[in-house]
Amino acid sequence: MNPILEAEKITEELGDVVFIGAVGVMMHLGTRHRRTQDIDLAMVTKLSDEELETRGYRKYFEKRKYVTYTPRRIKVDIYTEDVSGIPVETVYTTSLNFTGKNRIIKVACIEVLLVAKHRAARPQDVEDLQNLCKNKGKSINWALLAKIAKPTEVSEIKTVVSAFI
Amino acid sequence: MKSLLMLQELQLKPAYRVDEIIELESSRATAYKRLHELEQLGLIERTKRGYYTVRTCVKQPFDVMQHLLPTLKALKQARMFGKYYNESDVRIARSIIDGFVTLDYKAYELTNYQTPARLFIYVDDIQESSEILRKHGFSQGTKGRVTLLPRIGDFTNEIQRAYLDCIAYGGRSTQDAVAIELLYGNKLKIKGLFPVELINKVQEDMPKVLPIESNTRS
Repeated sequence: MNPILEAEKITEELGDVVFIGAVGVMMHLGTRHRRTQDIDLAMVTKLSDEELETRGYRKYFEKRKYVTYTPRRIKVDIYTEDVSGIPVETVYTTSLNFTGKNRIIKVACIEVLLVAKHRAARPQDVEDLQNLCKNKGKSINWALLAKIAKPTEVSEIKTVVSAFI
Repeated sequence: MKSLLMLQELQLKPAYRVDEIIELESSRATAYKRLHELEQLGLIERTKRGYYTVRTCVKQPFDVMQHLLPTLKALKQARMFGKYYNESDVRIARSIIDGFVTLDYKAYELTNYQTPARLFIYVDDIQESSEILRKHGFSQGTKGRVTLLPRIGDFTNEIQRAYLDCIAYGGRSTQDAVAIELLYGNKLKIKGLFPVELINKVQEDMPKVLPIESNTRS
């Protein structure tokens, strides 16, 4: 699966969506970033299950929970309220446009990704956070970060950036 | 191992200021001695003056940790190479270097779970293999996609070794270790300890694949 092409198709089918998670990190850092086959996205205009179905998206009960698949059988995690405590509206208004192969896709800004990864704090998030700070630390908008993160979180992210830059 | 105990008290974070680690010990001198020991073991790395990163594998229990030491030692002696700094470097290196592939590419081959990024390969003679890469236009540095590792430790059970390497490397490779255990648990004698949420996440995201047959078949 080419994640950029898939992200473009999802944007075409679902409209205003913002890519977060590994695809978001990959768009900021390049294709060298490791990722799983699923795609995480934030959706501002909620679509009902029926609306998703008419667009070819299918929901199944699998491994103890409902999961959604794109028409191309790619698993998608759709966030409609918040992403690690950051309201979806904020994720959307701060998102960046990336030019894909055929169209523009929206990707969460570096600050949103940093806060989301910092809050999740799993081993994979620790590595992603290190890579984001190492490669994008100089371009962090600290004023924006302060608006979406708690003061202790800003201070901890500053420590990570200082450790690498 | 007192130095490891010190680290296990830390909350998992991407980087630490040296004083955050030092305050865990009663004296500065003891703390610096422990930091030195941990650096030698490959469990921590000084990124800049006053800052350290800690491998996420420090959260593993002692009985697992002892099996991770050969990998950590090998990772400390790793040499990175690059030529075009893209996927083709991996293809070229695989065609000219003999050895045991581990981490990203091995995990992907076994589980199909996470896309690989870097080629890690254990070789018998790291000097000789480095020369081969140089002769083919590779340069040694810090950003290359090809990583040579000296063959240290036990390689009789390839799946077990790849699994322990993934735990030791930590970060995203921890998910690879979980995926390997979910698919090849019956081939593993030493097993790591992972948070339930992590296991559930891997289980949910894992593509439906059948375990591949290997030389460790019993």
